[in-house]
Amino acid sequence: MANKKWASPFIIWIIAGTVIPILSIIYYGFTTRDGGFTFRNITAIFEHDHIQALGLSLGLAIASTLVCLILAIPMAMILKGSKFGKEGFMIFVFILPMWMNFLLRTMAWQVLLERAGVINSILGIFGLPPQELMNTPGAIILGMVYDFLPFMILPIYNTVSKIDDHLIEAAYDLGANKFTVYMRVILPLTVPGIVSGITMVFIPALTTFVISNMLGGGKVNLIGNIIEQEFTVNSNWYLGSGLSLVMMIFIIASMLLLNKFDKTGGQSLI
Amino acid sequence: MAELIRLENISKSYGDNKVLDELELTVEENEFVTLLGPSGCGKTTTLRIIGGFEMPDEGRVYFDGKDITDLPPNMRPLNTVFQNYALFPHMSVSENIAFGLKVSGKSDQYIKDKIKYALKLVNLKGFEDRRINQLSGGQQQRIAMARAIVNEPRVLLLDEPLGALDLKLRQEMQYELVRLKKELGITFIFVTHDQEEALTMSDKVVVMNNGYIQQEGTPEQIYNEPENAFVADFIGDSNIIPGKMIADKLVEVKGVQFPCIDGTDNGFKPGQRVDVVIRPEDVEIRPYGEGLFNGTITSKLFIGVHYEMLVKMEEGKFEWLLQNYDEHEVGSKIGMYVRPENIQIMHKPQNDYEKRMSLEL
Repeated sequence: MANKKWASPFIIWIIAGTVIPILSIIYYGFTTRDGGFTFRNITAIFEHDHIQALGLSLGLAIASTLVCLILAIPMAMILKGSKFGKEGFMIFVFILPMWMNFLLRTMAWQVLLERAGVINSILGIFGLPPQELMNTPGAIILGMVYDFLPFMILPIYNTVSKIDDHLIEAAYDLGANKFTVYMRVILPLTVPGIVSGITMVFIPALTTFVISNMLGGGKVNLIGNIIEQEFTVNSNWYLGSGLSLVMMIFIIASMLLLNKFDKTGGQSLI
Repeated sequence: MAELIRLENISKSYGDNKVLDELELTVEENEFVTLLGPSGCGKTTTLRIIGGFEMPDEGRVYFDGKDITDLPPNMRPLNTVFQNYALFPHMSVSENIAFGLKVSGKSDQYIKDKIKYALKLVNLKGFEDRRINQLSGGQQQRIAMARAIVNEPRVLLLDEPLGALDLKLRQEMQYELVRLKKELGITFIFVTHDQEEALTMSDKVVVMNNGYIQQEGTPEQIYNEPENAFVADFIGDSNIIPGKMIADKLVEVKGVQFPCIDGTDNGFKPGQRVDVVIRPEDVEIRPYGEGLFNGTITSKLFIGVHYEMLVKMEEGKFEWLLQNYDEHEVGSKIGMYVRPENIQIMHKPQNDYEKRMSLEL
């Protein structure tokens, strides 16, 4: 078939970009420094520091995903309600920060949150004592929400805007009030968008080390930071790979869980 | 029959586009009313105003004597079957049907019985647990009907519900709708652009164009006695020829005078310019020279039951459309005769208002 010929670049891409890296991570993950087979790199997740970092990572990732969700759903609804192409502009405004470099955006929050930063200066004007805003879990959640919010809004807005207005009219026609229409028709039909939004925010939030480095100042250690340090500072690729494999299992498990909620039977990411 | 719905002086515009202009419409209890017209004539907007999905700019909507203009759709005692069915894709068939009943807080047993009854009524017994995407177009259509009628509305609004079905299914559903209406004993307001649908099913047809009602009447009245050139042209095929009244019950077309049954009794004065409407099946073919007009057949199509022919007349510039059971060869010269009772005389548009009401010819 002609299709097969065209597929070959993609097959090469998949082999080079997915299969080989995963295989090498699996290889390193189950190997000791002197080349022997081991489970140590995997079970290392249960060490006190690691399990604490994993717990904190999960907590912060869940928190920032929830905040994104709480912001994005009403936002998408408001956008759907607005008329005459205004929503195109609104989406544009929300996406605009994404055009800026990711590191720059996060650095901007450093400037805002610093002890001598913009927010504390404003507080000072009102005679309020400066707050310790940087290097806290809160700062990291804020940074993650700011960086990842567009990835929540876009899929949800996409799904919401495709809901047929006649369905909403039909629900009203059958006697439902606004609340019922929302809970029984709009929200269930938004689930696919919510699922992919959660996926796109939760995974990078769980594995990030840049945001926690920049806004946590090394005081908040996430699992991403530990893995990064194993690769860069300690040059221990074996432990780094082992912990990465554990993270992958966490992510796969959370995806499977999420897909259970997507009853409309759309395409799943796994 | 008692009056159930009255639209009073309804106007509606979208921007500069006036969709409805001072519309007046009355729907009686237990009537099958069809709003018929080409797309953009305002029929769907009228239905949506009755359903509460659009607010009229001016005018009031009365239901059973009460003003319901400001009531939202969920407070109105009527239900709608939407053009694309608008079934909830995330619910099963029975969940769809139960939606309105659950919202109004009916008991589980009542809901269960109602679903069963409704599915039986639309001939889809045993479909309770199907998903919507497992249904064919015709089945979805029936479920949409079932979902609306379980709420026991006094009026069912149907927005071109048969538009997406193929011809055979559409004809079946026409019978089905008439049967349903009889069994339920409620009022149907049906919107369509298909004149055949309108004529087959309705008690009353309301022909609309450009936001105005052109004519209201029984299907027979609409077909046999169109009030203006638009109705005549929209309902079935017709020959519409400009003419002049010569005397009472005598009209002249293209220099030929012949008797008709309209005259001073219904407001046609001698000397007045009129439109003459003749249905193609009412033109009788006679030997050449023995009819009112003479002409040459320029084309012939076999339609199934009859032949359809175009005839170029000799008396003036006009091409006649004829329907006849007998075959006549292209090129043959014939005479044409029309019985006086089959000639429909219509007023020419007089002023702006009437001009807007009629088709440009």
